[in-house]
Amino acid sequence: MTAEDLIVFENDIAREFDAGRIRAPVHLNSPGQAEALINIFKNVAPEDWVLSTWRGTFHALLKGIPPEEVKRQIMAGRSMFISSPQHRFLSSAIMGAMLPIACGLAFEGARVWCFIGDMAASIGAFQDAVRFADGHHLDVRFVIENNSLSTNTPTQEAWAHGKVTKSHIIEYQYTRTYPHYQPLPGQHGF
Amino acid sequence: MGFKQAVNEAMLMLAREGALFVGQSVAYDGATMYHTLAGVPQEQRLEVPVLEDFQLGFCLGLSLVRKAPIVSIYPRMDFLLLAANQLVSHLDRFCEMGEFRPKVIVRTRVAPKQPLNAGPQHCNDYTNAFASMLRNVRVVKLEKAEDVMSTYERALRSAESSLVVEANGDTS
Repeated sequence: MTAEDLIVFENDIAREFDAGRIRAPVHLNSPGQAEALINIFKNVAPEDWVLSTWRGTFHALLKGIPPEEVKRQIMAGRSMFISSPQHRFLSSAIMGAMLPIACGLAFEGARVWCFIGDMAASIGAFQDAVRFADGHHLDVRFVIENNSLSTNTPTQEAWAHGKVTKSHIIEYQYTRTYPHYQPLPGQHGF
Repeated sequence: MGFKQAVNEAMLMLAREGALFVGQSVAYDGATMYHTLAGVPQEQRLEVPVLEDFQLGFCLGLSLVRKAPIVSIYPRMDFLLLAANQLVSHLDRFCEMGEFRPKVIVRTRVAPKQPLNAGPQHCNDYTNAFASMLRNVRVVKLEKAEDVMSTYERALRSAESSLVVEANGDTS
Protein backbone atom coordinates (compact mmCIF):
# COMPACT_ATOMS: atom_id res chain seq x y z
CA MET A 1 0.00 0.00 0.00
CA THR A 2 1.11 3.55 -0.57
CA ALA A 3 1.08 6.31 2.00
CA GLU A 4 -1.90 7.78 0.22
CA ASP A 5 -3.76 4.46 0.44
CA LEU A 6 -3.17 4.33 4.19
CA ILE A 7 -4.32 7.89 4.73
CA VAL A 8 -7.40 7.45 2.53
CA PHE A 9 -8.33 4.33 4.52
CA GLU A 10 -8.12 6.13 7.83
CA ASN A 11 -10.02 9.13 6.56
CA ASP A 12 -12.81 6.72 5.70
CA ILE A 13 -12.69 5.28 9.23
CA ALA A 14 -12.77 8.78 10.68
CA ARG A 15 -15.93 9.51 8.69
CA GLU A 16 -17.54 6.30 9.92
CA PHE A 17 -16.71 7.20 13.49
CA ASP A 18 -17.92 10.77 13.16
CA ALA A 19 -21.18 9.42 11.76
CA GLY A 20 -21.64 7.34 14.89
CA ARG A 21 -21.40 4.01 13.09
CA ILE A 22 -18.49 2.72 15.23
CA ARG A 23 -19.57 2.15 18.79
CA ALA A 24 -16.13 1.65 20.29
CA PRO A 25 -12.96 3.70 20.70
CA VAL A 26 -10.91 4.27 17.55
CA HIS A 27 -7.29 5.47 17.61
CA LEU A 28 -6.18 6.78 14.26
CA ASN A 29 -2.65 7.07 12.97
CA SER A 30 -1.02 10.28 11.84
CA PRO A 31 -0.22 10.79 8.16
CA GLY A 32 3.40 11.40 9.14
CA GLN A 33 3.75 7.77 10.22
CA ALA A 34 2.95 6.36 6.81
CA GLU A 35 6.29 6.69 5.05
CA ALA A 36 8.31 5.52 8.05
CA LEU A 37 6.13 2.45 8.42
CA ILE A 38 6.21 1.66 4.73
CA ASN A 39 10.01 1.61 4.93
CA ILE A 40 9.98 -0.64 7.99
CA PHE A 41 7.50 -3.04 6.45
CA LYS A 42 9.70 -3.49 3.38
CA ASN A 43 11.69 -5.82 5.66
CA VAL A 44 8.68 -7.67 7.07
CA ALA A 45 8.10 -11.00 5.34
CA PRO A 46 4.67 -12.64 5.06
CA GLU A 47 5.77 -15.42 7.40
CA ASP A 48 6.93 -12.91 10.05
CA TRP A 49 4.77 -12.11 13.04
CA VAL A 50 3.71 -8.53 13.76
CA LEU A 51 2.55 -7.56 17.24
CA SER A 52 0.77 -4.26 17.33
CA THR A 53 -0.90 -1.78 19.62
CA TRP A 54 -4.32 -0.22 20.01
CA ARG A 55 -3.36 2.01 17.11
CA GLY A 56 -2.69 -0.81 14.65
CA THR A 57 -4.51 0.07 11.45
CA PHE A 58 -1.43 0.99 9.42
CA HIS A 59 0.43 -2.05 10.74
CA ALA A 60 -2.44 -4.36 9.81
CA LEU A 61 -2.78 -2.98 6.31
CA LEU A 62 0.96 -3.09 5.68
CA LYS A 63 1.13 -6.67 6.96
CA GLY A 64 -1.24 -7.59 4.20
CA ILE A 65 -4.61 -7.91 5.89
CA PRO A 66 -7.15 -6.85 3.24
CA PRO A 67 -8.57 -3.36 3.87
CA GLU A 68 -12.12 -4.69 3.88
CA GLU A 69 -11.20 -7.13 6.65
CA VAL A 70 -9.48 -4.42 8.68
CA LYS A 71 -12.52 -2.21 8.28
CA ARG A 72 -14.84 -5.08 9.22
CA GLN A 73 -12.97 -5.55 12.50
CA ILE A 74 -12.97 -1.82 13.22
CA MET A 75 -16.68 -1.52 12.49
CA ALA A 76 -17.22 -4.48 14.86
CA GLY A 77 -15.56 -2.49 17.65
CA ARG A 78 -12.18 -4.19 17.45
CA SER A 79 -10.03 -1.24 16.44
CA MET A 80 -7.87 -1.65 19.54
CA PHE A 81 -7.13 -5.33 18.93
CA ILE A 82 -7.11 -6.07 15.24
CA SER A 83 -5.89 -9.61 14.69
CA SER A 84 -5.52 -12.27 12.04
CA PRO A 85 -3.92 -15.66 12.63
CA GLN A 86 -3.68 -16.15 8.88
CA HIS A 87 -1.54 -13.03 8.60
CA ARG A 88 0.30 -13.65 11.86
CA PHE A 89 -0.92 -10.33 13.19
CA LEU A 90 -1.88 -9.72 16.79
CA SER A 91 -2.74 -6.56 18.73
CA SER A 92 -3.48 -5.62 22.31
CA ALA A 93 -4.71 -2.53 24.09
CA ILE A 94 -2.59 -3.27 27.16
CA MET A 95 0.48 -1.05 27.06
CA GLY A 96 3.74 -2.97 26.80
CA ALA A 97 2.10 -6.33 27.32
CA MET A 98 3.00 -7.65 23.88
CA LEU A 99 6.71 -7.52 24.70
CA PRO A 100 6.90 -10.95 26.39
CA ILE A 101 4.57 -12.46 23.81
CA ALA A 102 7.05 -11.37 21.15
CA CYS A 103 9.80 -13.15 23.05
CA GLY A 104 7.71 -16.32 23.34
CA LEU A 105 6.98 -16.42 19.63
CA ALA A 106 10.62 -15.78 18.76
CA PHE A 107 11.84 -18.38 21.26
CA GLU A 108 10.03 -20.97 19.17
CA GLY A 109 11.78 -19.77 16.02
CA ALA A 110 9.44 -17.13 14.68
CA ARG A 111 10.70 -13.82 13.33
CA VAL A 112 8.83 -11.09 15.18
CA TRP A 113 8.25 -7.36 14.90
CA CYS A 114 6.80 -5.81 18.05
CA PHE A 115 5.53 -2.23 17.92
CA ILE A 116 5.40 -0.13 21.08
CA GLY A 117 5.10 3.51 22.03
CA ASP A 118 7.73 5.65 23.69
CA MET A 119 6.23 5.30 27.16
CA ALA A 120 6.29 1.51 26.84
CA ALA A 121 9.90 1.79 25.75
CA SER A 122 10.74 3.69 28.92
CA ILE A 123 9.46 1.13 31.45
CA GLY A 124 11.01 -1.95 32.96
CA ALA A 125 9.01 -4.38 30.85
CA PHE A 126 10.86 -3.11 27.80
CA GLN A 127 14.27 -3.54 29.40
CA ASP A 128 13.27 -7.07 30.46
CA ALA A 129 12.18 -8.08 26.97
CA VAL A 130 15.21 -6.61 25.23
CA ARG A 131 17.58 -8.27 27.68
CA PHE A 132 15.82 -11.63 27.38
CA ALA A 133 15.79 -11.40 23.58
CA ASP A 134 19.47 -10.54 23.52
CA GLY A 135 20.40 -13.36 25.89
CA HIS A 136 18.49 -15.97 23.94
CA HIS A 137 19.49 -14.55 20.53
CA LEU A 138 15.87 -14.14 19.52
CA ASP A 139 14.92 -12.91 16.07
CA VAL A 140 12.74 -10.08 17.29
CA ARG A 141 12.73 -6.36 16.51
CA PHE A 142 11.13 -3.88 18.89
CA VAL A 143 9.94 -0.86 16.93
CA ILE A 144 9.44 2.28 19.03
CA GLU A 145 6.85 4.66 17.66
CA ASN A 146 7.83 7.86 19.39
CA ASN A 147 5.37 10.74 19.52
CA SER A 148 6.66 11.88 22.93
CA LEU A 149 3.22 11.21 24.37
CA SER A 150 1.64 8.60 26.60
CA THR A 151 -1.98 9.02 25.54
CA ASN A 152 -2.00 12.80 26.10
CA THR A 153 0.69 13.01 28.77
CA PRO A 154 4.17 14.14 27.71
CA THR A 155 6.25 11.02 28.34
CA GLN A 156 9.34 12.73 29.69
CA GLU A 157 7.31 14.98 32.00
CA ALA A 158 5.77 11.89 33.57
CA TRP A 159 9.33 10.81 34.41
CA ALA A 160 10.17 14.34 35.57
CA HIS A 161 12.83 14.14 32.85
CA GLY A 162 14.72 11.63 34.99
CA LYS A 163 17.44 9.38 33.55
CA VAL A 164 18.74 6.01 34.67
CA THR A 165 21.95 7.03 36.38
CA LYS A 166 24.33 5.34 38.77
CA SER A 167 24.16 8.22 41.22
CA HIS A 168 21.11 6.69 42.94
CA ILE A 169 22.46 3.13 43.12
CA ILE A 170 24.64 1.37 45.66
CA GLU A 171 25.63 -2.27 45.17
CA TYR A 172 27.77 -4.64 47.16
CA GLN A 173 28.62 -8.27 46.59
CA TYR A 174 28.69 -11.20 48.99
CA THR A 175 28.84 -14.96 48.96
CA ARG A 176 25.83 -16.75 50.43
CA THR A 177 26.57 -19.06 53.32
CA TYR A 178 23.19 -20.50 54.27
CA PRO A 179 20.71 -21.86 51.69
CA HIS A 180 17.80 -19.65 50.61
CA TYR A 181 15.54 -21.53 52.96
CA GLN A 182 16.69 -23.66 55.85
CA PRO A 183 14.27 -26.60 56.10
CA LEU A 184 13.47 -28.37 59.29
CA PRO A 185 15.10 -31.80 59.64
CA GLY A 186 13.32 -34.26 57.36
CA GLN A 187 11.54 -31.56 55.42
CA HIS A 188 12.03 -30.25 51.90
CA GLY A 189 12.72 -26.57 51.46
CA PHE A 190 10.12 -24.24 50.04
CA MET B 1 -0.22 -42.49 46.68
CA GLY B 2 0.50 -39.14 48.30
CA PHE B 3 -0.34 -35.78 46.77
CA LYS B 4 3.21 -34.88 45.91
CA GLN B 5 3.83 -38.20 44.18
CA ALA B 6 0.58 -37.83 42.27
CA VAL B 7 1.67 -34.41 41.05
CA ASN B 8 5.05 -35.78 40.05
CA GLU B 9 3.42 -38.53 38.01
CA ALA B 10 1.15 -35.98 36.34
CA MET B 11 4.17 -33.84 35.45
CA LEU B 12 5.93 -36.89 34.00
CA MET B 13 2.79 -37.58 31.95
CA LEU B 14 2.91 -34.02 30.58
CA ALA B 15 6.63 -34.36 29.95
CA ARG B 16 6.01 -37.46 27.84
CA GLU B 17 3.67 -35.29 25.77
CA GLY B 18 6.59 -32.96 25.12
CA ALA B 19 5.61 -30.28 27.64
CA LEU B 20 7.94 -27.39 28.36
CA PHE B 21 7.99 -26.36 32.03
CA VAL B 22 8.66 -22.65 32.49
CA GLY B 23 9.22 -20.74 35.70
CA GLN B 24 11.51 -20.06 38.61
CA SER B 25 13.11 -23.00 40.43
CA VAL B 26 12.19 -25.42 37.67
CA ALA B 27 15.80 -26.13 36.73
CA TYR B 28 17.35 -25.26 40.08
CA ASP B 29 16.22 -26.48 43.49
CA GLY B 30 14.67 -23.59 45.37
CA ALA B 31 10.99 -24.34 45.78
CA THR B 32 8.80 -27.29 46.64
CA MET B 33 7.55 -27.46 43.09
CA TYR B 34 11.05 -28.26 41.88
CA HIS B 35 10.75 -31.67 43.53
CA THR B 36 7.48 -32.36 41.72
CA LEU B 37 9.43 -32.23 38.45
CA ALA B 38 11.72 -35.09 39.43
CA GLY B 39 12.46 -37.13 36.35
CA VAL B 40 11.52 -34.40 33.87
CA PRO B 41 14.43 -34.00 31.43
CA GLN B 42 16.41 -30.79 31.89
CA GLU B 43 15.89 -29.86 28.24
CA GLN B 44 12.16 -29.60 28.97
CA ARG B 45 12.67 -27.05 31.73
CA LEU B 46 13.21 -23.36 31.11
CA GLU B 47 14.37 -21.26 34.02
CA VAL B 48 13.32 -17.65 33.50
CA PRO B 49 14.00 -14.43 35.45
CA VAL B 50 11.70 -13.51 38.32
CA LEU B 51 9.29 -11.66 36.06
CA GLU B 52 5.94 -13.25 36.67
CA ASP B 53 3.98 -11.28 34.12
CA PHE B 54 6.72 -11.63 31.50
CA GLN B 55 6.72 -15.37 32.16
CA LEU B 56 3.05 -15.79 31.40
CA GLY B 57 3.16 -13.53 28.34
CA PHE B 58 6.18 -15.45 27.13
CA CYS B 59 4.34 -18.75 27.59
CA LEU B 60 1.32 -17.34 25.77
CA GLY B 61 3.52 -16.39 22.83
CA LEU B 62 5.13 -19.81 22.84
CA SER B 63 1.75 -21.48 22.80
CA LEU B 64 0.74 -19.69 19.59
CA VAL B 65 3.41 -21.52 17.64
CA ARG B 66 4.34 -24.57 19.70
CA LYS B 67 2.25 -27.70 19.41
CA ALA B 68 3.41 -29.30 22.66
CA PRO B 69 1.97 -28.20 26.03
CA ILE B 70 3.32 -25.21 27.93
CA VAL B 71 3.28 -25.39 31.72
CA SER B 72 3.87 -22.06 33.47
CA ILE B 73 4.77 -22.61 37.11
CA TYR B 74 4.33 -20.22 40.03
CA PRO B 75 5.67 -21.68 43.28
CA ARG B 76 3.21 -19.70 45.39
CA MET B 77 -0.17 -18.29 44.51
CA ASP B 78 0.91 -14.96 45.98
CA PHE B 79 3.38 -14.65 43.12
CA LEU B 80 0.68 -15.28 40.54
CA LEU B 81 -0.78 -11.89 41.48
CA LEU B 82 2.09 -10.36 39.57
CA ALA B 83 1.03 -12.21 36.42
CA ALA B 84 -2.61 -11.19 36.63
CA ASN B 85 -2.24 -8.78 33.72
CA GLN B 86 -1.26 -11.46 31.21
CA LEU B 87 -3.52 -14.04 32.80
CA VAL B 88 -6.68 -11.96 32.77
CA SER B 89 -6.30 -9.44 29.96
CA HIS B 90 -4.54 -11.73 27.49
CA LEU B 91 -4.72 -15.45 28.18
CA ASP B 92 -8.34 -15.26 29.27
CA ARG B 93 -9.53 -12.53 26.90
CA PHE B 94 -7.86 -13.29 23.58
CA CYS B 95 -10.69 -15.58 22.56
CA GLU B 96 -13.05 -12.60 22.94
CA MET B 97 -10.78 -10.34 20.89
CA GLY B 98 -10.31 -12.42 17.75
CA GLU B 99 -9.43 -15.85 16.47
CA PHE B 100 -6.26 -16.55 18.44
CA ARG B 101 -6.61 -19.35 20.97
CA PRO B 102 -3.51 -19.50 23.16
CA LYS B 103 -3.34 -22.38 25.56
CA VAL B 104 -1.19 -22.49 28.67
CA ILE B 105 -1.44 -24.71 31.72
CA VAL B 106 -0.77 -22.42 34.67
CA ARG B 107 0.26 -24.26 37.77
CA THR B 108 0.50 -22.76 41.23
CA ARG B 109 0.39 -23.78 44.85
CA VAL B 110 -1.11 -22.56 48.09
CA ALA B 111 1.67 -23.03 50.58
CA PRO B 112 0.83 -24.58 53.94
CA LYS B 113 1.37 -22.71 57.19
CA GLN B 114 2.87 -25.72 58.94
CA PRO B 115 5.45 -26.58 60.10
CA LEU B 116 6.65 -23.06 59.26
CA ASN B 117 4.40 -20.13 58.55
CA ALA B 118 5.85 -17.96 55.80
CA GLY B 119 3.52 -15.11 56.65
CA PRO B 120 1.08 -12.81 54.93
CA GLN B 121 2.83 -12.67 51.55
CA HIS B 122 3.48 -16.36 50.89
CA CYS B 123 0.57 -18.54 52.03
CA ASN B 124 -2.58 -17.08 50.52
CA ASP B 125 -5.26 -18.84 48.55
CA TYR B 126 -6.61 -16.50 45.88
CA THR B 127 -8.48 -19.17 43.92
CA ASN B 128 -11.87 -17.52 44.26
CA ALA B 129 -10.49 -14.11 43.37
CA PHE B 130 -8.93 -15.43 40.17
CA ALA B 131 -12.03 -17.47 39.36
CA SER B 132 -14.09 -14.29 39.57
CA MET B 133 -11.84 -12.58 37.01
CA LEU B 134 -11.44 -15.47 34.58
CA ARG B 135 -14.30 -16.43 32.29
CA ASN B 136 -12.46 -18.53 29.71
CA VAL B 137 -9.53 -20.03 31.59
CA ARG B 138 -10.65 -23.07 33.55
CA VAL B 139 -9.84 -22.77 37.25
CA VAL B 140 -9.37 -25.95 39.29
CA LYS B 141 -8.48 -26.23 42.93
CA LEU B 142 -6.73 -29.50 43.59
CA GLU B 143 -7.01 -30.83 47.11
CA LYS B 144 -6.94 -34.61 46.75
CA ALA B 145 -4.27 -36.85 45.34
CA GLU B 146 -6.82 -38.97 43.47
CA ASP B 147 -7.90 -35.91 41.44
CA VAL B 148 -4.44 -34.86 40.31
CA MET B 149 -3.87 -37.02 37.23
CA SER B 150 -7.38 -36.56 35.82
CA THR B 151 -7.14 -32.80 36.29
CA TYR B 152 -3.88 -32.54 34.38
CA GLU B 153 -5.07 -35.00 31.72
CA ARG B 154 -8.10 -32.80 31.14
CA ALA B 155 -5.91 -29.71 31.05
CA LEU B 156 -3.75 -31.43 28.45
CA ARG B 157 -6.66 -32.51 26.23
CA SER B 158 -8.72 -29.35 26.57
CA ALA B 159 -8.52 -26.58 23.99
CA GLU B 160 -8.79 -24.01 26.75
CA SER B 161 -6.17 -22.81 29.19
CA SER B 162 -6.22 -23.98 32.78
CA LEU B 163 -5.24 -22.55 36.12
CA VAL B 164 -4.53 -25.42 38.47
CA VAL B 165 -4.16 -24.51 42.14
CA GLU B 166 -2.51 -27.20 44.22
CA ALA B 167 -3.89 -26.71 47.69
CA ASN B 168 -3.73 -29.92 49.61
CA GLY B 169 -1.98 -28.51 52.65
CA ASP B 170 0.93 -30.89 52.10
CA THR B 171 3.99 -29.80 53.96
CA SER B 172 6.38 -32.08 52.14
